[in-house]
Amino acid sequence: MLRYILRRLVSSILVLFVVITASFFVMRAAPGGPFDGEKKLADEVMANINARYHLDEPIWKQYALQMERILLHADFGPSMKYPDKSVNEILADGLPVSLILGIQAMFFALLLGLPAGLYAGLKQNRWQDYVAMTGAMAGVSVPSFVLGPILVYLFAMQLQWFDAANWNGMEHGLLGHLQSSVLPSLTLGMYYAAYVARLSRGGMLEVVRQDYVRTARAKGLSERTIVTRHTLKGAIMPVVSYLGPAFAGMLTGSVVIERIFNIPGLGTHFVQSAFNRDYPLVLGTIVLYSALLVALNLVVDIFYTVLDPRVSYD
Amino acid sequence: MTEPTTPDGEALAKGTSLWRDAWRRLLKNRAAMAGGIIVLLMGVMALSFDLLSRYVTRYTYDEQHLSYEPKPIGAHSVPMHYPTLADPAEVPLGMVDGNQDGFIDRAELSTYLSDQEFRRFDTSGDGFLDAEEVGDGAIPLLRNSPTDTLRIFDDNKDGKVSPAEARANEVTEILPDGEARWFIAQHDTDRDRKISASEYVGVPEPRMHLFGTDELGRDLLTRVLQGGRVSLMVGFIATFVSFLIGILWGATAGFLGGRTDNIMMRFVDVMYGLPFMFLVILLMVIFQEMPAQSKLYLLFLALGAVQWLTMSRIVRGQVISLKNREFVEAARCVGVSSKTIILRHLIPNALGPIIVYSTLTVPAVMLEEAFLSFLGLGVQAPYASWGSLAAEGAKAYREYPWLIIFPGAALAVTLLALNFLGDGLRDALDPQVRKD
Repeated sequence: MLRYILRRLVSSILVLFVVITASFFVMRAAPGGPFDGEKKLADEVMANINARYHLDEPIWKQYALQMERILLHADFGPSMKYPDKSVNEILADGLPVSLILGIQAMFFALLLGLPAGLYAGLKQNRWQDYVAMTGAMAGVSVPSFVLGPILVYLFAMQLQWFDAANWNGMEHGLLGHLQSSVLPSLTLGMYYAAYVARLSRGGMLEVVRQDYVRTARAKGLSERTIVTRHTLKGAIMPVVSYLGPAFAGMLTGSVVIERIFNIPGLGTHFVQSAFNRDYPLVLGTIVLYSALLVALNLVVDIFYTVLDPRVSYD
Repeated sequence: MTEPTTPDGEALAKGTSLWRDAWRRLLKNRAAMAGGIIVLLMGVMALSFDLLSRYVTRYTYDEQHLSYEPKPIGAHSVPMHYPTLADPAEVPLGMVDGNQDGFIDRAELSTYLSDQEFRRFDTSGDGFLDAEEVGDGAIPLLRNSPTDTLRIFDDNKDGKVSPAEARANEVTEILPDGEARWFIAQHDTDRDRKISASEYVGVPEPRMHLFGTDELGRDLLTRVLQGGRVSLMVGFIATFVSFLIGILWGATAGFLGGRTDNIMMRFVDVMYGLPFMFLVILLMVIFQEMPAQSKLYLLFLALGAVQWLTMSRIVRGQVISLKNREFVEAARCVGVSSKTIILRHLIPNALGPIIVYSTLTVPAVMLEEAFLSFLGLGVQAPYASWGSLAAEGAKAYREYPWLIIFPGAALAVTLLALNFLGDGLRDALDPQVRKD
């Protein structure tokens, strides 16, 4: 197990390295630079700015400098578009927002998806099953940027239950926070809820046919005990292995959700910084995203081995 | 679909083949069949878009009928490129010259023209437009003006145009729209601001915007049809790209096995860890300035590249389970080359799961394209895709809900149909795998 984790850590670092390198050079290959504004700056000013950000050095040297800064100091340097802020500060502002959004979305995905899927699995080919699965099919087919406005229209504008115009942090109290964050999280989580429902239904169908479930039934255990004690754990296994890809998808999806709901998270910075050619900020966001992704995948895989002792990675 | 054959091309003994069996099961699955029919319909519409645009909607996807705001469902405009001809009739022209002094000044034009446009027409720069300056440039001057409409058609001057008055002026169809009068202006060859019957021959008839228009006055139905073509094209071509890369990679790895397999699949593992969509977003931002056409190709490639990994894993798994079967061994014994074994024996037999996965990849890719377009990174103007249309609609969905409803619904229905079809295909091709 330890060896497996170590090996995974090594390959994760490799992945991060590839990501940093790839995005660094892709960014630099792009036409335009961070200081191409409306007005053309005087040559001396340009030279000064370039010297300050080391943009006048040869590209490999800039790369080495950047790598050194990231690896040795965990520092991405100053933002080129917002000179009074460091990339680390911008990321530190955005990350908690994105994380909360992601965690709440995952919560909704599991809260809605798991019961629906497990129940549908228990009621295979009955109307409950068809209703749940048609709903799940709709859930994976309606894009979030269509669902979001519909939810806002219904629940924020007509019923006025939620606030869709702002993002309120925890400083507005739990209620204030929920009022502004439920709709975006729900929008982000819906696709995954649908997917989780499909997976957990499949898992349940697989498990209820197992011999040990038949044995449990033969022993005369109540249906309730059979479901809670014997089938649940097995039925959610496919969902657990899906959590990694789900987190990855949510990271990408959050970029869109943050745009729809005006949420000041990482996604906004990511797209905007790429447009601005703000090299350090692009690198910072993409590294942070990748690190999150890699770490979550690792956690999910370890969790999986703990849940299912038959899986071994050695 | 080809019937399975023995290596020397002889048909297998009679019996229900896998494919016929699958087909029968698919026919019984009503949801999958409905999905298939919808996908087929959408495909036909996408392929015949040019004809639909020319003969059915009669608007092109990029022709503009400017107005103050998007026109609602059922509004009319006069198509510029594929007009139909109306019956000749005598119609008086709208008078822009409000105080009837024979000149058009800035104040009279405030509802029609921006300052910039005004300066463009005012070639003598005297702050007035005279008949000569207006000339052929009369187009924007004669646009929508409710007061004009009233002045011209309100015979009894009660501030309303009654149906009887509209009929008396033979302009019922033309009433709602400025462009109609623009066309009339064009036909006013003797410039007497009236169109006589002889001048009126061949005046185009207004057409309804069944889905309304966007803020540039472009017919939404035509744009949704055109967007469908782009969305489906992106979905299918990108899937095809992933299909090709995935099959070659997976089949090679699975067939050669050993160290090569190990290295190739380890590469796939590492790629799996990459946050691919972020790299694609980065790529699309960076090539933002590329011409729209080449950006479309980049999109196919980028999205295809994201999807090939799973495809290669599936193919590899299939190939490994097939390659030790007797018929492959037999082929190897008679000296068939590795390349031929992969292409002729392994891939056709592994096709079932590959087809299923491909069918399910198409909606996934379409969704990804929609995401990118939503961020302003996908399909570029003048082209549109369902994603980019919905993105535009999302900006003002409170005021103009039809702008997001139609493209969003088209996308959702198509994705739903593709998903149902894919699920049905999976059940049909692989009865052991229960529906999940």
